[in-house]
This record gives sequence, C-alpha cells and structure tokens, in this order.
Amino acid sequence: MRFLQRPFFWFCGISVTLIIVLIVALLQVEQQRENMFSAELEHLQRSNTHYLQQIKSQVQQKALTLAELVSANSMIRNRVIESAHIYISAQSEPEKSNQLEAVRQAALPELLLQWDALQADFVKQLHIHLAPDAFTLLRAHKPERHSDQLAAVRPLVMSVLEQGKAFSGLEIGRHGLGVRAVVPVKNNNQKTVGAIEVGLGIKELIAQQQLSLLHQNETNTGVFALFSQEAVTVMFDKQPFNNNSAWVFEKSAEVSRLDWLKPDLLPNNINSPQALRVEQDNQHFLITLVPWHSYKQNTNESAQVVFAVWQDISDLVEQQRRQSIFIWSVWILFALLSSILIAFFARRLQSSTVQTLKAQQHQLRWSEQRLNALFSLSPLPILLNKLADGTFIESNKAMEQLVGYTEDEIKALSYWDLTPERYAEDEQRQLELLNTTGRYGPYRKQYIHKNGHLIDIELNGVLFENPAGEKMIWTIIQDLTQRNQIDKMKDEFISTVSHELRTPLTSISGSLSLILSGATGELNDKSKKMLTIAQRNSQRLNSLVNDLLDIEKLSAGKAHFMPEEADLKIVINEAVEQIKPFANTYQITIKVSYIDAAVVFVDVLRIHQVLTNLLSNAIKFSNTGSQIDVKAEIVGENVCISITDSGVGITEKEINSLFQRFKQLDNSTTKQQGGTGLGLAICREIVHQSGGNIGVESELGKGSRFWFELPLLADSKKVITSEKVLIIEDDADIASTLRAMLEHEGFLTDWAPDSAHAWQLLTQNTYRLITLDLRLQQEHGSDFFFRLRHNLETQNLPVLVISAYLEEGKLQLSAIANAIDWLEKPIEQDKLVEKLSNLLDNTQWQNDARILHVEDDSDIVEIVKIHLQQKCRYYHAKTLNQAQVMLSQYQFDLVLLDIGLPDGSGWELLADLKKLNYDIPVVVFSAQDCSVHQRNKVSASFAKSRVEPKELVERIKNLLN
Amino acid sequence: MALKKIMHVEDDECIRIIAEMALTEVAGFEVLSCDGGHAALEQVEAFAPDLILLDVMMPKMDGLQTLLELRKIPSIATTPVVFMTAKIQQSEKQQYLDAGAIGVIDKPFEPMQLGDNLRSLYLNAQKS
Repeated sequence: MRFLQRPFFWFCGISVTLIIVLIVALLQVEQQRENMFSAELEHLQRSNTHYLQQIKSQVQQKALTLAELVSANSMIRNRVIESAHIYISAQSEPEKSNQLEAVRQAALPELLLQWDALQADFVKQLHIHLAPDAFTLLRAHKPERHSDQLAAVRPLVMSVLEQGKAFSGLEIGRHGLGVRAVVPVKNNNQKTVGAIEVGLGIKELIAQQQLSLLHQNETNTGVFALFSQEAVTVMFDKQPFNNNSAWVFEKSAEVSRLDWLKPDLLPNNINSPQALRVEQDNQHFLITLVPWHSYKQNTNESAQVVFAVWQDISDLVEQQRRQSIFIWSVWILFALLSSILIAFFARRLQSSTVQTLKAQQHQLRWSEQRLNALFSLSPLPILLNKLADGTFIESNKAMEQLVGYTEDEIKALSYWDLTPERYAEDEQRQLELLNTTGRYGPYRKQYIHKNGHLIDIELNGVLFENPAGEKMIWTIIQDLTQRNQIDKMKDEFISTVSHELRTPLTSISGSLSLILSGATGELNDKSKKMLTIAQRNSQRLNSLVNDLLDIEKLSAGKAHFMPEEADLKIVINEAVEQIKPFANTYQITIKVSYIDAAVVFVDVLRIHQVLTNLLSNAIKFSNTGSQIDVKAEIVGENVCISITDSGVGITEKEINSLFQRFKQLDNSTTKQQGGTGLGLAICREIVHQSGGNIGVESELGKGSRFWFELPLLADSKKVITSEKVLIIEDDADIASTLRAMLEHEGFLTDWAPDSAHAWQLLTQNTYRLITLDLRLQQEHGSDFFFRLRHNLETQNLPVLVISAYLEEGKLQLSAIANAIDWLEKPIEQDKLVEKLSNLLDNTQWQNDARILHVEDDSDIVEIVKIHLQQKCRYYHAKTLNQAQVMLSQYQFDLVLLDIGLPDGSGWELLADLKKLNYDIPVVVFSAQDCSVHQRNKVSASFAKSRVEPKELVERIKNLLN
Repeated sequence: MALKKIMHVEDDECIRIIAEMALTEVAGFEVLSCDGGHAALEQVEAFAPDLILLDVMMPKMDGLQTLLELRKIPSIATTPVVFMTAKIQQSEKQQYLDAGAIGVIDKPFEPMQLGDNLRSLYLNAQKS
C-alpha cells in the first residue's frame, strides 16, 4: 500500500471529502429555504382563509341584524300582525284584498323610510311575508309587486314561518346571489304571523371588500367569487357560457388582473378551504378558496359558490429565486475556488515530489559514480560473485592484474576455478561463517594465476541480497605477495642483527666473566672494579638487544603466544619468588596481600614477564627497606593485578608517555638503576595482546600503583562462590563476624552454635566446608571432628579449625588430619581467605582419581609422590613392561610418563593405550624436550629441569577435572 | 659414561677462545675447537668427542648442515649435540631440538656455567 504513504493521495482524498460535505450542506440549505417558503405560503393561505370566513360570518350577521332592526319597528310590526290577521280571517277575497291594500298603503311610507336607511348597507331586498304560505305583503324595493304566494319557491322563508326561528344564509335564485336574513314576526301570543326578509347584494359586498383592500394599499391582492355552472343556471335561468368550464367568475370591476385566470385552472369540486399557486406570464399568484354553502331559492338545495382571495406573490417567489441563485452562486464560487486551490496544491505537491525524485536520482547517480570510481580505480582487487555457484559477476582492473585474466575471462570463471583444491575444507568454514554472521575473513589463501603460479592473498567479504533475492558476496582482496616478502626480509634482518650483535657481546661478556672469576689470574681491586662496570654494561647491552627484538616481534603481532588456563595466584607467586633475591639486595619486602581466586587464559611465561618487569621497576624506584604490595582483585569480568610501591612516584606529565618506547623517568634514580626503556612498552604489548589493559596511578614522592587487567576465564569466578559453609561456633558475635567475612567472599553460610545443631544441619544440607571452633559448649570440637571423619558422608569434608588454642587442637587432631587447616583467633580476613582457598584448592582434587606414574628415577618418583599421594591414588611403574601390565589390569585416570625408560621409549606406551582403548590424559614428564609433533600426541609435556613440581601438579589437577 | 671430551665448532675466534678457556680451565674438559663445519668433519673421528657444541650461524656450512653431515659418520651418529645460538626465538630452538640436539644454549652465555650446563644436558641425555 505504498500509495497510502504519498501526500498527493491524502490531499485528493481530503478535497473530494470536502466537496461532498459542501454539496450535502448546500442541499440541506436549499431544502430549508424551500420549507420556509412553503411555510410562508401556508401562513398566507391560512390568514386568507380566515379573512374569507370572517367576511362570510360578518355579512350573514349583518343581514340578520338589519332584518331584526326592521322587525323591531313597532309600526311595521303592528301592520304585519294586522295584515296577517286580515289575511287569515277575512271573509271574502275582495274584502281581504281591500283590507290588505289598506294596511299596505299604511305601512309603505314607514317601510320606505327603513328601505332608504338600509341602502348604505347594500340592501337589495326588503320583504314582508305573511304566514302561513309566505304571502308577500310588500316589497320595499318593488312596492308594485305583491300578493304572490311563495310557499313553493321560498323554502327558506317557509322554514322560518313554520319554525319561528331567524335565519341568515346565502341564497341563489333568479335574482342572483344574495345573503338573505329572514326574521319571524310574532303576535302577542308568540305565534309567528309573518317575517321580515332583508337581502344583501353579494357583488357589492365583494366590491366593498376590494375597496377596503385598496384603501389599505393592498394592490397585489383581490377578492372574487366563483359560481358553479349549476349556480349560474339557477341565477340566470340559462345554460352556462362555456360547457367545458365548471366555474363562472364573479369579479369586481376593479380587478382586471385576473383576466388570465381561466376556470380550467381550478379543481372541479371545492368542498373545503384550499389554496392554489398559479403562474402566468412570469407572475405568480396564490389563490385561496373558501366554499360558501348556498341555498337554491326554490328547492332549498345547495349549489356551489366559492369565495376567493388572490394574491400576487411574484415578489415573494422572486425573492426566493434570488436567494437560491445567491446560494448556488456562492457555492459554485466556493467550489471553483476550492478546485483551483486543490489543483494549485496538487500541482505544487506534484512538482515538489518530482523535484525530490530528481534530487534523489541525482544523489543516486552521484553516489553510483563515486562508488564506481572507487570500484574501478581501487588498487585492491574487488570481486562480486554468486553465493550459490561462485560465478563471478563483476571484477575490477586490480583483480584482472592480480590473476592475469581479462574481465570477460573472469566472468566466465567461478570462484572454484581460481582456488586450489586443498582449500576445500577452509572454504567450507568461511562459507559457514558467511552464512551465520553475514561476513567472512580475514581469510588467507591462495589464488591460481592464469599462468599457473599461486598468489598469496587475504580475503574479506560480506554477504548481501540483490533485488531478485539472490545471495551475492562482495569480496575485497589483498595481495600478500609483497607483504610476505617484506615480512620475510624483516625476519631475516632481525635474525641477522640479533646474531651480529650478540656474537661480539658473547665475546665481551664471556671474557669479562672469565677474568672476573679469576680464571686468568688474580686481579687488583681497581681492575676488578673497572671490569665489573664493563660486565654490567655488557649485560645491559644484551638486555637491550633482547628487549628490542621482543618489542619488534610484539608490535608486529608476530610474537608467538601460547595461552593456557592458569591459576593467577600461582603465576603471581612464582614471579614474586623469582624477584625476591633482587628485592632482598635492597632490603625491600614484597607482600602479596590479597589475591582473589581467578583463572585466566594467558601465555603464562609472558604474564610472568610482565609481573617481573613491573616488580623489578617497583624495586628499582623504591626506597631501601620499604615494602611493595601486590594484589589481585576481581573487577567485573576482569581480574586487576596491582603492584604498589612507596617510591619516588611519577609526575603527571611523565605518566602520559610512560608506556612509550625508550621512555625513562628523567631522574637520578633511573640512571643509577639503568634499564632499556622498553620494559613498560613490552608490558603494554603483552597485556594488550592478552586481551587486557594496563595503567598507572602515581603521586610524586609518594609512590606508584601499576596495574593491569586480564579477562577472567568464564566461570572462573564461581570457583568459590555459591557454596555453603557451615559455621560451628558457640560465640554468637564471632559467628556473626565470620558469617560477614565468608559472605563477603561469596559463600552462603549456616550457623550452628553447638555440635547437635551442626549434625542436624549436616544431615539436611550439603556443605563445601566447615569452620570449627574447638571449645564448644556440650561436645569438644575435637570429638566432633572425630565423628565427622568416621562418618562416610563427611570423612573428606574440608574443615577449617578456628580457635584461640590451636596448638592444643593440632596435638589432638594430627593423627587423622586430612582436609584440615588451622586459623588462629582473632580472625583476619586475608588469612581466612588464604586458608579457605588452600583448603578448597587441595580438596578440588578427585580423591579417588588413579594416576599411573611411569618413571625409573627413584628420586623423581619420591618428589612426585609427595605432591600427589594426598590428592589422589598414586601408582608407580618403573619400567615400560610394568606399566603395560598395570594398564591392562587396572583402570587409570591419567598417566604421567617418562620417555627414557630402561626397557624402551615411553612413546611406545601411547600405542598400547590406544590398543586398550584407553582415552585418558597422558602427561610427558621427561628430561628430553619434545618435538612439536610429539607434543601434539599428548595432553601436556614438561621437561624435568624446567618445571616446578607445583606447576606439574596443578596441570594434572586441571586435566583430571 | 662421564663427559670428558668436547668438540666446539664456532666461526668466531673470540668466542672460540673464551669457550675453550671456560671449558678447559673452568670446567676441566678436554676441548677441540674448530673454526667451521668442514674442519669439524675432518677432525671429529680422530678426536672422538663425547659431546659436540655446535654454533648455528656459520659461513659455508651452518650448524644444522654440519649436524646432518656428522650424523653420516657412523662413529658420530649418536654423539650428543648441543647447539649454541644468538637467535632467541622459541620456534627456532624447537627446530634444533627436533633436529636431534639434546639442548640449546643461548648466546651470550655465561662462561662460568657453560661446563655445568653441558654436563647436565649430557647426563639427562644419557638417562633418556
């Protein structure tokens, strides 16, 4: 999904999302605007409906009020009652007619007065009807027309006469459409005897409303009525003008703007209030329709009449349109701007990506050019080949020169074509190294030159994968031919120089030695003194030659180191012993104050050389009678050996160059002591090549502390750690001190105040050692010791007797004193450590190990026996034959072998051991030096004249372990 | 058999004189000094030494070559040989021991102890 990491992708994504959100928002705004517009129209419609309904009820109420006003006139009322009486009680028709005429004439003036008063209210009819059959007594608007019976054609009037209740409503008849109010006239007996009817002209009403609207400056609105075809038929007693049309308009004269309104735009039935939006010639109208129930004059049935209000809403619609246009314009503008911005940023992004890409390509080309130049111009041959089959892929000029092939010829070859067969095994090892660590070398081998000769080379290489996943090896080659030649020349030079220097030195020192020894006759004191000086200086010159050759070898890394596992304590003690005579001449004591148990893997002779060098320096620079302190402490993964003197000290300036060649302290003491100035440089080389470090701390006039660190052999620290010691001591304070001391040395401890507790603990735990106080409370320490030694489990358990009464204990215990040592109270930490490590050292022997010593020299047998018999089971064979017999009959763990035996060579025994399938260590201990070949056949070899018995014993111990 | 007669082969005259003095007057041996391998080969049978002290670096015929030639003479085939060398490298010493020498003495040597050293080497060789 690499495109997800590209900013361009994210940019486009965000842009698209933004546009979608904008569109949704826009639609939402539009919808809201529409809704608001609809709500506005609805509101308008509701208020129009309300307006129309108000007119309707006002008009009806007005008609009723007017009718009641007329009926309330007592004169008119009395004339109605009178005429009603005449009408129903007259004896004859002519009499009736006359009497009625008389009443009519009497009532007319009053009625006309009323009529005139009502004209202002658009009253079109004023009737007086008589019960029971709606006999028309008088029509104020047409006084000449009367005496018609309307029972059949005026159901409205009949219902009022019959029910005695007033009525007001819309009636439709031949006279047109009008609001009629009929009010009953009752006699004194509350019997309806007649009715007053008032009719209002609807056309005028509409005109009046329109007028009032005009007065209110409402020019964009108007009122009109609609009649159904049926109503028109009734009204005009004729067929409608247009059969297709359901409606006929009653429009006021003022309203000419509704000309466009064709009846077919309206619904056929209008039974409830409703609104209509009509668009005509870019004008928008809202028409609110409210139906008004009307009665047909003669049938009392309903015909549809609708009152309507129209409104020109063009402005409103226009406003909406403008708003919409505005919103869309803003959005389109915004969208355009966004698009431009997006395009702009996208372009910038793209161009910056392109620029980055170009820069990267440029860098890449530059880097490739550099590497290519490096590759082709390198004076070192460089090769690229496949791991799978060794085929060469690429090589440089230097490689062609090295092997004599052209580039094309090399590419046709594989690794194996250039490698002599005998390297097959080594190659395999390097391949394994390459596969596990990803690199190989430095690997010295030979290549076969085109002309057949062999070239000494050194290879270093790394493994990597090409883009196709194929494993490749880059190899850099060094031609060692020249270096080997130089090395050889150097070796020859050193060899020659050493010979040429030593030969005259041999003569000089030899002569001096002979003369001084008196071999050539007695010398006088002066001569003797002078010759002694000459001898000392010839010895100094010899040391200088030795040191020079030594440092030369060491610096060139050509000094031969033979590292082995060594107990540092032994190495230090031997060096100290060796230097002691020299120290004694200055009455200087060397105190080995503290040595941690440590095993190192070093060339013992070389470390010995470092120690004696540092010790002799310390002696040289110490004051007569002073003390030199030697310590070895474990610091982390190293052991630090330090030699501290209280001599002249070194200045800070001198310290910095102290380990350089030919640097000697520039003071009189040095000159007196002499020296080659190479000692410390040699020490540094040796320590460095042993994997360690060397340094010095000093204060002028107070002394110096030279130290060097050596890496500890893994696990050597554990020699005396994590082992348990049982402290048997009745004094709690002493026990506590002892505990602290032992725990400081890395031991775990248990404490038993008396022998009973001790036995209990011994049965439960395994201890490495016991410290025993002799004077215990209940049982004497010596008795407890006897019990220990008679118990199978504890008979060899090392015991350190710690007591204030050692002599007494020694007397009691000497008889069975194996694995025992003594320490006097008060306890000193240093001594405790020394005793502990001695005890543990001796008891690290496998006591039941069997050693066969083959040796004819009884003196040597005696010495070795003394050293070994307490530590293991020592057996001795005097001849080869005896050894062969013993080996065939008994099992041994190690053979210590002399070579020159009375009945043959010790080497023959090796063949016998092989025959007997013995796979045990063999240590040669002989007067003869072994050849390398011989030494490889055995575990170790020592020359009798050159080895201390201690060293031999230590080696045997190591081999057995 | 005790060590009595020593043949010393050394090209450097000074060293020859000192060694002869050390071996005769100090140690009491009978010594025949030769100035090179050829002289040694000529005189060795007549002198019949108990031990031959052989310098390593000599012109014309070096110590190792001289040893090889000496070993070809039947009466000298087992005569112990000690090399004396100014080269102090351990690997070289080993080379001489491997060639059959019973010991190697470094130059410069201590003339007062030369005789004792040779005696001790000789005794060891005898035992073996």
